[in-house]
Formats: sequence, C-alpha cells, structure tokens
Amino acid sequence: MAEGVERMVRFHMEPADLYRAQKLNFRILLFSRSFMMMLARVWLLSMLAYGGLLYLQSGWDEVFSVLIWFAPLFLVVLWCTPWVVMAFLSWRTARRTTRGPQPDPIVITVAWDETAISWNSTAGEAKTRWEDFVKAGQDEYFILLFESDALYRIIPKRVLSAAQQVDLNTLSAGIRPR
Amino acid sequence: MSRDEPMNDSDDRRVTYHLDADLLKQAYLLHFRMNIFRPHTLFKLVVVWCVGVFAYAAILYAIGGRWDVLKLTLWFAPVLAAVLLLMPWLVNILLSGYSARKTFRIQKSLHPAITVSWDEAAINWVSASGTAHLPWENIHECGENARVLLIFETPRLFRMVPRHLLTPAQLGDIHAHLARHGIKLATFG
Repeated sequence: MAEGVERMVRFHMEPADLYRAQKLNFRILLFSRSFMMMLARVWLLSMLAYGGLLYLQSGWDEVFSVLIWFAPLFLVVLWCTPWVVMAFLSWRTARRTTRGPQPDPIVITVAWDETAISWNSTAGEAKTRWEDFVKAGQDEYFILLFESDALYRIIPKRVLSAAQQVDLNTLSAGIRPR
Repeated sequence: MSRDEPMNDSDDRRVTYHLDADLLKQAYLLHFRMNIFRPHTLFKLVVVWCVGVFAYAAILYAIGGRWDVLKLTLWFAPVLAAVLLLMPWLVNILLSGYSARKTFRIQKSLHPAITVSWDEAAINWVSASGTAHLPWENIHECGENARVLLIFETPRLFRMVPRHLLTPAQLGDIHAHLARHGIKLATFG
C-alpha cells in the first residue's frame, strides 16, 4: 500500500459530471483500435462500392479522377462525424441533466485496496477486482474504469488528493484492453 | 395463488439465477426492439435518408460527366430507404449474439449467481459482485419478451429479471407494482 494514502473518498455527482464523463467515454472510444479499424473498414467498403458504381457508369478514367479527391474527403467526414455527434450528445445530456428540479444528491463512497475497488451508495454497492476491468481512461476531470465496453464507473478527480491519484494510477496501470 | 392475488411472503418475491450469454442476447434484442419503434428513432432515420439522398445527388451533380442525376437519385432513394430500414435489424440479428458473448466473457460481474427480490418499496439485485437497490418510483421504463424483463434506470442503463423463471404469480406481482407506479411496460413476443 502507498504510504499514508487514505484509500477512500466520498463525493456526490454534480450536474456537469454526467456529460463530462460521457465526453471522456466518447474520446476513449474514438481513439480505440477497434473503432479505428471499424472506420477503416467502412471507408474501404464505401470506396469499393462507390468506385464500382462509377466504373459501371463511366469506366476506369472516371473512377480514378473522382476517387482521388472523394476518398480523402470521405475519410475526413467519417472521422469528423463522430466528434460532431459527441459534441451534440454532450450538449444534450448537459441540457437534460441541468434542466428542471435537481434530485437530492446521493453520496457515493469509493474505497479501494490492492485487490479491488468498490462503490457504495444508498442505490447499491459494486465491488470489482482490478484484473476484471477491461480498460481505463482519464482526463482532467475523471478517471473512468470500464467493466465492459459499455459499462464504466466514475471517480471524479476533484475529490482525489495527488497521492490518491498516483495510487489509483499505479493500481489501474495493469488494466489492458480485451 | 392466482395471478392477481397480492404476494406477501418475501420468499415468494425472490428468484435466483445465473446470467448467460443467451439471456444477455435476448436482453439486447429486446432493447433494440424497444428503441427501433420509437418516433425519434424513425425521425433520425428519415433525417439520415434525406441527407443521404441529397448528398448523393450533390456528388453526382458535382462530378458532372454523363450522369442522369435525377434518374439515378430516384433509383438511389428507395434503395437507401430499404437499407436504412433493414440494416439495423440485420446488424442487430447478426451481431447481438457476438456482442452478448463478448460482453459476458469480459464482464466478470455478470458471472456470479444473482438474486432478484422485491417488496412494496423497491426491487433489489444481489450478487457476489455487488447490490443494486431500485425504488419502484425511480424506474424509468420497462420492456419484456418471453425470456427477459428489462427494468431501465435511465434510457441506457437497464437491469434484467429472467422472466421465464418467474411464476405467473411473481410476474403478476411485478406487473402490479409497475402499474401502481405508472411505469410504462412494452411487451414483445
């Protein structure tokens, strides 16, 4: 155990937390190898389909003259579209979560040791061993720990001391994408 | 006990099960069916269709050459509509099994036995990985098919109840609680 580090924090989620966490989740997804591979496949298949259509209509000369500008343009569109969607969804989440009366915040306790980390609140309890996480990511606001591609748990950095952040980074360093 | 008779014994309001990839697949299929028929999903498909047809026509026009833009666009529009309508079904039917197997393999918290219990105030899930306590009034919506009952905390986060393991009385009891709290229940198949 890291010397003198208290391995427990308490916090409650703030309205902005949800969309910030969602934004980070998107960024982790958009830079993941599987997502890049999917984009590459979509791009390649689209180019083959479009090239085939052009060939049927006009022959090879048309295929080359069109694809030489359309292929990079489509790649840029494919890459940028998820970022635009991310910006829109984050904005929409922010609007929804901050609109209307806010429910009483639930206090969440996060505690960890060498083997596992747990989240406790009045809504329930979850305890996960470090080796059972499939990936992790962080930005200036959050550490996200993923139990699967879709399910992640949140630790806000604002409640962590520098020593606690180092401790969590050390313990989560072994998490490798599966 | 009849289906409509209220249950009082806490033992009757409890079921223990092991989740498996097939049940997870049923949950994914149900989640998909609940979403695909929503008005805003259909609206999104229409928007994508309009943008796609417009982009296609614009590209053909920009390329010039010997394209008959109107003729090709009129051919492309129904093809794109059919693709947009069929693609989500195809992707879901073909990939839900793979996705469920992958999630079940990597998400270890799904492996231990899970006990679902409920009372007048809330429904609870307990396993070696943790617990969840969900008051009835905090449920967003529900959906069910022959195998699984999905209880949504938010539009994206759902918890499962293995419907096929519930007795008619237990299922009736849960339905009665949902109805009492005005929670929407979508039933498929």
